[in-house]
Amino acid sequence: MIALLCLTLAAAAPSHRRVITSDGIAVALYRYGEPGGPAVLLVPDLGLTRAVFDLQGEGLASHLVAHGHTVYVVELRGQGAARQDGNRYGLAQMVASDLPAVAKVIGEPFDLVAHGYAGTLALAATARELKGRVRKVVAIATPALPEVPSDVARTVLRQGGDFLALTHDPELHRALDLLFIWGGRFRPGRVEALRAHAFGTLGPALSADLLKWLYTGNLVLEDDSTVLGRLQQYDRETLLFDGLLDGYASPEQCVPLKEIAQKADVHLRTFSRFELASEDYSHLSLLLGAGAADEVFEPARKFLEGVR
Amino acid sequence: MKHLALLLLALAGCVREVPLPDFAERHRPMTDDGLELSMVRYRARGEPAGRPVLLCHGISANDRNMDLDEHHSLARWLSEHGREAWTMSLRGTGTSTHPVDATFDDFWQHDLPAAIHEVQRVSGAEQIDYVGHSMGGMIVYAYLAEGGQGLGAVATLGSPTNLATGTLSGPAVVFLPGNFSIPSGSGAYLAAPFEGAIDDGLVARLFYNPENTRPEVFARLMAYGTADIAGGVARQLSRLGAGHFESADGKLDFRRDMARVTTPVLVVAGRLDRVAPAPAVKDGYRALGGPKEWLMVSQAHGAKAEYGHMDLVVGERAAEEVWSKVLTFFHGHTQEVK
Repeated sequence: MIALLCLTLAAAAPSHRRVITSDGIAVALYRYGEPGGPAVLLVPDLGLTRAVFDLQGEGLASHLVAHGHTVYVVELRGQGAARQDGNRYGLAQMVASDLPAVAKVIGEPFDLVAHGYAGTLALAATARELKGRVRKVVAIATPALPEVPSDVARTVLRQGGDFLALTHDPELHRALDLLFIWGGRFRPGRVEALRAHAFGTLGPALSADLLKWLYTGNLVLEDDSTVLGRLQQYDRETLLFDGLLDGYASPEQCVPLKEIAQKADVHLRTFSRFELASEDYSHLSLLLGAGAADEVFEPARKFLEGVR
Repeated sequence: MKHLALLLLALAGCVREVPLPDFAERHRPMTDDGLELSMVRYRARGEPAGRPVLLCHGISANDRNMDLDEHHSLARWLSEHGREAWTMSLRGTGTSTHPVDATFDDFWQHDLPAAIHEVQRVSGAEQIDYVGHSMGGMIVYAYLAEGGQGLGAVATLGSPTNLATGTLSGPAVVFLPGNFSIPSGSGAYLAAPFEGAIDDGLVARLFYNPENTRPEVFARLMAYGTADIAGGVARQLSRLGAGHFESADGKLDFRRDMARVTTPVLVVAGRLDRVAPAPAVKDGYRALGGPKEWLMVSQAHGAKAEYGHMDLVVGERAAEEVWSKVLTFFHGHTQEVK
């Protein structure tokens, strides 16, 4: 029994390496499972850590590894373990430098699981920096048409996007909950664990960039193209999940991907409790909620594996 | 079976219908295709403060959605805030004429013009404002998209224009029966006494959030605020499930034509609306030509609880969190009308 437990823990523990981008910045890349399986790159949302895919050994990463995939999780510049000198960075550089560097390390073509606003950046990169590298895409609450932020989102982002610090703030932790957690259904202890491990620091510069993106609805990239322009060229077969109660990347911002990306085959799934879904889903319960394994991970895996 | 039906009917009778207030005036205008509509006028109380407002209910509903009782009444609230308010029952609902069948096109081509004309005739106002809940908003979208006149400013509450937004209810409406009417009103009447008996029941899950609307209030809405759905209406609206908001013959694409709308519209959505999910409502907002405003009613935007579909019209805090914003929008667009 102890041997089995050790084996399980060893399998769950990721290997970690620093990847140096073309502009000399280190991003963090984790590999779960042995090489050789179909590669999948998981991109957590801005200001969040790899724990959204692997919270204390549970999450989409281990789910995919259990089905034979080789899973990579990246923490882009300024995020999670890649956190340093966060004030120097912009979102455009994540697209121009971070994602191609990570793709180079992975080597082979891979599937992409993209979460939130960082996920939208990854979708945008498939049209150019990741061209020819990405097979299928599972998009989880990826806004195609970002909107003027709610009062709560504005308050949180104007604090410099230090989500982790806000979890200890007596006033603002409720705002953080409303954006990311509220309305989700979690097993006992999971909310406390995700507060401790999944929230990171976006940093003032990236927060300012994100706010600008939200207010204008578009983001200019380093080659002077825009995220929206890139999404119009987006052509990957995609399964898009949205939570009705996502207060951070609301479904009305994400669903338009289907109309914008005319070249892509986009399958939509917006959860609502009136239907068969176990909950309405929030930004983080889509990945860490009590029903996520059955309602998100399994359909995502089957989609990636081409199982109908 | 017969005894069960009698028992249900007896129990349903226990849910008391609150009568209209003494100051409500009943009107019965004729549509241009010869049907009588039931309308109720609520004169402005105190100093008049703007154009009259016509209120239109949604699908499977009637005029009482807008005046359920003294404490849950958009009509009386507007009247108390200086606006003459009018409610209407579309054909086949309330005490309006019940034709053998009807389509959504009948609502915007015949019923709405007749109702607008009646308000103009009685009040003397050339332009009036309009609030449509759910399908009531879709009706005004079609009316304006196809050149309808007489409206100064409009607010739609939970009005979808495209249900192909990833929820299972979208594909489901494609299968709505279209050959006979759906007895949703009769069913709601019989089920009313039991509303709230089960926590987190299907009705609440679909239509309201108990943190906003008390089950006993919703039970009254079920008892006297609902109506059956005409087969033709179900048939036409079932196309929303495939993303088509169009005329029965398919020749008019309302969603495309909404780009021509120049009447100011406030589009309101509830975060917990599972009938008209926010993406389905936002689709209409995006289609409108403008001027337009978007209002998401949610805790992230300051509401005390998340809003379901019916909370927008009968919620305990709807006056403060929804209707006051509609009125502010109307006031803000009063000057634009020539």
